[in-house]
Amino acid sequence: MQDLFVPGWFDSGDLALVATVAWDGTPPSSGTLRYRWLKIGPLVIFNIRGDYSVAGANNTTLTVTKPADMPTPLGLTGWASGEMVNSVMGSLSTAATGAGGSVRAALQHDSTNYVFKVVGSSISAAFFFVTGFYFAAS
Amino acid sequence: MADSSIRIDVAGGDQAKLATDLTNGIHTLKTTEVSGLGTSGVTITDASIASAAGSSETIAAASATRSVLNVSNPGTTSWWINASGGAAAANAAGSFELPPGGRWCPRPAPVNVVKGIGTASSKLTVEVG
Repeated sequence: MQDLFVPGWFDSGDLALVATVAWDGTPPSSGTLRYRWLKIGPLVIFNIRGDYSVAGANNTTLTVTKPADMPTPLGLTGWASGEMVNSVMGSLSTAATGAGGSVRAALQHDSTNYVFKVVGSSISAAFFFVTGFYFAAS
Repeated sequence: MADSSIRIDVAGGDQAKLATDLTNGIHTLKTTEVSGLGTSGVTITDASIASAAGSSETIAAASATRSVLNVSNPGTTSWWINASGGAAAANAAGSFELPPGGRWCPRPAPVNVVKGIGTASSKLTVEVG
């Protein structure tokens, strides 16, 4: 009989996002930025949300630096600094009530920091989320 | 079958040796080897800290038999936890932040002393078992 693995877990709670959030184009402003992460064993599940009262313009790319308190991602063998770690899910939208446009999103390393990057067609962004999971050292 | 015995025929083998091997293969468990088996859980004790700030508090004393430690921060200000036996201190190496609404449920539970410090006077909910 194998031993049952019961992983420990840590829940960050709902936190104010103070990490760098960068937009191309004219960035939206007056936003409520929050995030939460949960670590179960080596698995990190996260959700980052930004809701702005003043929309931006010509926004195609959002880059959110990984908050410092979130665990360091662990790439698979072959992964190297500067590369994508894994895909995540994201949304760029003109309002929180919309479903958002078609985007692609990834957790990647920009040779300095781990960042979550969301890229889509140009909109006047007023809302975003990035959510997903990655592996970290257990 | 009229009785409780079981006969095993060993083609070309030695029935007496087989019986000896079977007997030797049965290990009588000692009380110490089965201690704890059959229990369905552990008793959980509330060890919450009602309100503390400014000094490193013992969240859980060292216990070699501890199997459960659940810590949650129901307040609005952060706690910092040192899980490796040292004094907890905010923003210090060896201590991690447990922000408001945060929960920490390590498995296996640490058996060494665990300490925490509140950044303001606030409760920390602790369950040990």
